[in-house]
Amino acid sequence: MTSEELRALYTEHHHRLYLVSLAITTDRQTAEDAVHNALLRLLTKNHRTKDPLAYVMRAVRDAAIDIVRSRTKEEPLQHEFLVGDCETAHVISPRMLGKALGELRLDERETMILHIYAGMTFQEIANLRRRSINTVSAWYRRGLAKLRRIFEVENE
Amino acid sequence: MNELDKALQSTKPREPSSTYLERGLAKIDEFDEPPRLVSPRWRHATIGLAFLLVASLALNGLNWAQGHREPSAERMLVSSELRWEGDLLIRETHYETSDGLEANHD
Repeated sequence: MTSEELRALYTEHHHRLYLVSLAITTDRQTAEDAVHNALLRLLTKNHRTKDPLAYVMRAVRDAAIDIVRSRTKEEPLQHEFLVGDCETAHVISPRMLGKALGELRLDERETMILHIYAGMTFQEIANLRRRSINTVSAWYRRGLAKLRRIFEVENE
Repeated sequence: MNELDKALQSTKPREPSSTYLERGLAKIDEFDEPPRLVSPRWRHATIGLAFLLVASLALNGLNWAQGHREPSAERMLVSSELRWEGDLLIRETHYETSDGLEANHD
């Protein structure tokens, strides 16, 4: 992929790439860093692919996982990556929801964030993850069930 | 609608920083791509052809060497006698080989 192609793709899809990264890092700054790390890695390769966007999204995902793995126990993820989009106060605040999402398994959290907040279909997520659509939908259902249990426990 | 569903619908991810897009574009623009004389696809094809050529020459050379090697023929002494031709003493030796009778003059 040439730098011109990558530039055009990043310009058009930079927000989606950010969300793909955020779904893993759950932190804005590290999500941006992961995207930029992925761009640099891609520039050093000259891989030809039929689906450049999926290829770049996988590279972003890999870079985000690398950053998360490199974090030490002294600098845990804060999971404060959600904000409320209306002024009405809810029982479950964005901070509480972000923290709960942080407790899910990576597959479950990533699928929920990409489906709910990035608007990706299960098929698109399956293509990104190179897994079956059944697996992806199972991740989503399990994640949702765990969130319900977390907030049912908190409400008791 | 339960509280969890309300929360999921009323929240959104933090937007990236205002410099996120620009910083990414700057990294792409700053990248110094080394000049390529030949695209990698052509380079790989050339290397493959060169390998085939070398292998072909090696095989041809091997076949040539084998074709020029004369099979050793066993020969058996049939007769050997001395005789004078003028003032030269000559030994005439006859061998029998798989090719037929051959004469040697020593």
